[in-house]
Amino acid sequence: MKNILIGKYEFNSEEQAKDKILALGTEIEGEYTPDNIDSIVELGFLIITPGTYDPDGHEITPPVYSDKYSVDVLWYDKIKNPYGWATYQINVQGEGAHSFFGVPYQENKMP
Amino acid sequence: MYIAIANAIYSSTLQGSGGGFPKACFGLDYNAITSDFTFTRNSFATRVNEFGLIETVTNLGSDLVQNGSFDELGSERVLNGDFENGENDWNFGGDWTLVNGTAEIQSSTQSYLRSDNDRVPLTVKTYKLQYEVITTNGSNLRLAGGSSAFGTITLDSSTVGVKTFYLTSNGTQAYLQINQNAFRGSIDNISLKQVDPNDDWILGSNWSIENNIATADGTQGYLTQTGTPPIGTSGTYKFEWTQEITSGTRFRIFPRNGNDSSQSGVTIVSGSTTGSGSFSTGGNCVGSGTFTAYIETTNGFSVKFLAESGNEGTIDNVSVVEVIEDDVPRIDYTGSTFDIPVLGDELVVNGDFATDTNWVKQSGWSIANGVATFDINDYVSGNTNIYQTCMVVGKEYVLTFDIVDYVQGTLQIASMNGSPQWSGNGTKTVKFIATQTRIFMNASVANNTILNIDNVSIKEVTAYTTTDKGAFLLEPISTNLAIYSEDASQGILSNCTVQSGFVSPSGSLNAYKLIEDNTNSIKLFRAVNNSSTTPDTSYSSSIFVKSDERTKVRVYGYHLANQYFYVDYDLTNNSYLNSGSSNAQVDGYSIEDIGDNGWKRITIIGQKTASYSWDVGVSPLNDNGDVTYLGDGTSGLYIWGAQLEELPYASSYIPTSGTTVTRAQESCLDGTVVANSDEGVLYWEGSSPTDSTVLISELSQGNITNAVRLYYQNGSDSRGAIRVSNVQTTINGGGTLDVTKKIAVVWGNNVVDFWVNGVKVNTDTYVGSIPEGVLTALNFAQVGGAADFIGRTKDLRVYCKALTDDELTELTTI
Repeated sequence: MKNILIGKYEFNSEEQAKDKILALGTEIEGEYTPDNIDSIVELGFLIITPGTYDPDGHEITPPVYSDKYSVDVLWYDKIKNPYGWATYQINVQGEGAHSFFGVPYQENKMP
Repeated sequence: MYIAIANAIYSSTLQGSGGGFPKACFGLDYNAITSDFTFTRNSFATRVNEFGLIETVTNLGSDLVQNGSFDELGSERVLNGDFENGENDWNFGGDWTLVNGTAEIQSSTQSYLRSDNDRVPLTVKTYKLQYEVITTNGSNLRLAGGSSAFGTITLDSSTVGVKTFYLTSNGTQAYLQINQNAFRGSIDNISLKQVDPNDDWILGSNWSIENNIATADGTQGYLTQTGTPPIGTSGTYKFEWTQEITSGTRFRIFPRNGNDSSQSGVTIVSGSTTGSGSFSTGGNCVGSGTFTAYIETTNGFSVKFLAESGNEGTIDNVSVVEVIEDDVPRIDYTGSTFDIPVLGDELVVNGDFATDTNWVKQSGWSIANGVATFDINDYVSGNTNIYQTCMVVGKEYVLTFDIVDYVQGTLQIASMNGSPQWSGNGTKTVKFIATQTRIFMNASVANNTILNIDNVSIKEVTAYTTTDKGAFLLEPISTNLAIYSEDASQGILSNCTVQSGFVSPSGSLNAYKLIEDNTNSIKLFRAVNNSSTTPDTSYSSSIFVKSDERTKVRVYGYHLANQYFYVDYDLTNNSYLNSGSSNAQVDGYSIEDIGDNGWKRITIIGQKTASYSWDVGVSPLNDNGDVTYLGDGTSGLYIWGAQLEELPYASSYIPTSGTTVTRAQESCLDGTVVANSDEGVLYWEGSSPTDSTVLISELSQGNITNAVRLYYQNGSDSRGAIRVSNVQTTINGGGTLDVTKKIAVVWGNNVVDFWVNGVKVNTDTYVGSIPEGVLTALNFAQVGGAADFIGRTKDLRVYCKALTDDELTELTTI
């Protein structure tokens, strides 16, 4: 098995998250390629409380979003968080709001 | 393995289709993708398999369950069971005598035939006893006597033939001891073997192992095997078994650790059944069928079935395998036609009429000399069938048989609707739905029939497959934002309900029926997406639908009643009806058949200049195609597999059950080939849904200095190119790859040609030459891994010479 770890992160803003992600990578032929990362999933501002709707689809109350920008990363051949990432790492119950297909978070959690 | 099946169809194509066609110096081999390339995908993924079913693709380890098919037998306990060594190892008591290599008894004196020299252990175990009755007076033997290891058990000896009994030893006596009872005759070939000889299974008092299955008798108890894997082991495991419920409703399974002491650390993650029941992660396994459960554990796992009181049935084919590796290439059969029946085991006994047994013969029929004969001259009265019971009403079968020595008349099958009327010699075949449990082969009296039949065979049609070779599928990272893709009961329902328990495109009973109410309204199901989406970006909203009473459907990307985009289709013929939007934009739509059972996948693509959380919506339409109509309270259609992705097309299905789920990016790199720098052909067959620039295939020297390329520019134009000392000569004009095309770039003598679907699209010249021996790197991407190919590859070849125009026409004609 390859060494795969999942990290879940909450950044203070979308801009901060994108800067952190860009800082991970290198550029080949104009194509940005992150290093030691299999998948980055920007979950964005997660819904904390779903909206409510009437039977005809009209919104009664709008959804409430988190003020944190969430990112899940499937790290490849990496044994610890990159510099500047550990501060924003979170631990969640179960899979949290997002999972990687067939890669259980609790078994593959970035320490 | 599925890849092997696919490649058996495929591998013959590498040489080209004509005799003498030049041999490729590289050809894509579905079976060798992981050895010819570095293939990567660090997650599960799904595909449409060769039977048209959606399945998860993973790599599995070896089976951890011992004796999972319940067919293991111990060593032979009976010495000299065939009496080849006379009376050795036997005690011929009383009037038992050795006659012509058999044990015979012809008197009524109380006598015992006892196997003396390999005693039954003094433990309570199950044994399989077999013996052959050679001659008989029609009465039964028995096991009996104070030394009998099985107490007193009546044994069938009323007819000649091989007899089988499953017995439980009493643990106190050690002899196989046969008493003649009222039997007068002879027996031979006596065998006694322990069932489950290694005690792999722990049987509750209600469970027994007989006839290669484990059976529960209706009282309560467990069937257990520990250490599958042992305690302390971590991982994901696929747990599979077959069960048949004959009374009651269900069996249950449990998330038990490796020594069956606790449930701590063990989780039943998901599961399904192919049968007529259902599976829940709580462990309830309702109905008969093959069940699959995925187990995650940090402390081993034990197989543990519970048959509760009142539940009778059987368990078979139990396996637990580790999910070892996710990097399994997918050969996908989306779009294939599934019309080749897959047949089960032979159901007819004595179909070659070797003996006059097993068949019921009505007037005019006889069996002799290896055939069954109907002769009108032997007919007296009544029906004229020859038959045996071997079918289930409503299932599909294939019957084949031979008519031999035909004289006159006709034969038909009275177990189906619309049977052909056969006449003349030859092999006859028919596929049919059984209307009877018996196969009635009916000879016509009116036509004065005289004929023989032979080699009768009936096999159930268990599935349909395809002759298509499929395609090697490479996809980008994608996340299904619909958090309950299969559980429609978690959706938002307007003026409709959902009912569970219908066969889905995966073959499991986990599809839902969307049922309209009886109001004049829009009936709307929404699979919920709780993620806010990116403005000005195309999203695809897709779902599998199947018609029932409602045959027209609308599929949406749906946010609110005035914010959505949609497409309408007629499911009877896949015809487009309409599309539109409210405060949004439609970017595209599609419908495709999935398998052979009426399921379609409908996709609508759209966007908005604001951040909406698009749900996947479905509304049945009435026969006029109206979305607002007066429902009847019962009509509807089937739904399964909702998916909302940030892609301008729907990628392969990603199941979700409470969270968004991401399938990782696939890449296929580092292929090696020794190509000719001076001349050659790079040929590819396939399609691509992307709107990005991707390298379909690149043959290079391992950097970008010298290369031959096939690529797809901005999802709008496929192209061929040669790059010599960093100077690239490109030929445009291949067009889109929405549908499968065959394209080739040809180089040699400083001329480069580009062929598409049998036509030379264009030609150009190039300067210089690629150094000899440097074209050795073959990638489904640009060297270094940029611009990974996304799409379906049905063929990829490198030729080490420039083919002629005639050869290229033949190679690339679609």
